[in-house]
Amino acid sequence: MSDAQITVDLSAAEPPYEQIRTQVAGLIQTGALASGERLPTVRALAGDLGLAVNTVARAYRELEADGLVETRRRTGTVVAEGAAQAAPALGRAAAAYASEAVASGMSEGAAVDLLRAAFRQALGGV
Amino acid sequence: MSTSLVVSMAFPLLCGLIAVALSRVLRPWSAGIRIAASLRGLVTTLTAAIAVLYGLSLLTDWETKAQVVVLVPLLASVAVASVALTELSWTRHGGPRRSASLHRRPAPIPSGLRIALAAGAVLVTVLALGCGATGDGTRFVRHYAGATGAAEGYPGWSVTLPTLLGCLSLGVLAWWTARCVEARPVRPDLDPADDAELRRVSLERALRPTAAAWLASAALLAGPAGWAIGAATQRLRMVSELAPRSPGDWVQWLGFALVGLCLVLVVAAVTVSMRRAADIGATGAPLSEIERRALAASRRAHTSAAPR
Repeated sequence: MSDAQITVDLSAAEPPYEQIRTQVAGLIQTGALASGERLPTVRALAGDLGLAVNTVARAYRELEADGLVETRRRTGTVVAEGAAQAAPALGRAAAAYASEAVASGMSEGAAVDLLRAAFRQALGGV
Repeated sequence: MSTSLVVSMAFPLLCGLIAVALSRVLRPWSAGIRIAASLRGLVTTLTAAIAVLYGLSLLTDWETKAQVVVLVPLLASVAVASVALTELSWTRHGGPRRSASLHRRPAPIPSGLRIALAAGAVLVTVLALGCGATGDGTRFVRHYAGATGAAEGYPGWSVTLPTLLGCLSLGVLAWWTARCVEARPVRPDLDPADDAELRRVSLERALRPTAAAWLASAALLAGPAGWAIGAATQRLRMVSELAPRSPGDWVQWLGFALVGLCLVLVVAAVTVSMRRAADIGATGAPLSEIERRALAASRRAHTSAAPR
């Protein structure tokens, strides 16, 4: 059973469905959500976040299109088998990086830009 | 028949609509469950009074007298609608930053209640269709070798169809209420286990009246049907020496069985409606105390959100 939490910031430039999608995808990739684990229903998550049902439904649809979750008739939406691909260590490193960025007062956009630049540099070096 | 049919369909829907409308109107200033509870009492009292007056106005002849059975699902609809009203009146999330757990909320229904719901649904459907198909208006007529025995008070289509539609409307209302209970936002200030307990109790408050109404409706169809079958059989025997007699008369046994079934169903309906969900939360605190804390938190949320 998961204690995973997601947070949506309505004042952010990123649309709420994308925030849900990226956070759930991240939790799956790092193994915080295990294969076969059931996600809350669209209505329940929409109610908890105070969002429209369609917003959460779109996030779930996109996660399904990415092969990260699947919808089953009896059990609802569950994490797809083999969806977790990244090593848990990467998740921990990402969490540490995010904590460091927040502690140094860096904005989310700036932190992502920095990571993206580092990623491209790493790809160029391969 | 047509009036009662329309009323039986419209009444639960009207209660549901009133519940939704009130919750929508009151949400901006509602303090949560306290106002919802007051409204629930008000709506219950008013609708029960209307239902009783409606029932009394029907007591003029056999057909309308028998249609009082329709009041059972209607009254249960009021109870179910009040639960929906309570659920819809909870304070929603405010502010730009909102968090939620990805933990799936279980909504366990006790196995006994699940059985009562299934049995009630099946029995009321079978009895309504069976009685409707075999009745002659509100009479049960038995023929044998040219002789006829008839008895009034049998629930024919004029009774069973409104009952069936009332029970169906009640089922739809209960299903919708269960969805409201599931979708109700988690109170972040409550222990998750207590929040789950509150949700479970709400679900039982909606489903117990539903199961009880279905069982009671089935009882109110089975009892009069069994009695009318027995009476028609006795009258047939009075006019015909050749009419079937006990112990080989299966129709009479069917009448006895229906009366027996009625008694069993009445006991089951009373048991289901009298049983209350446990009123102690998962953390050991009484649920009333948990609700009070949720109400206080709901008020705080409103107060902090008001100036914006």
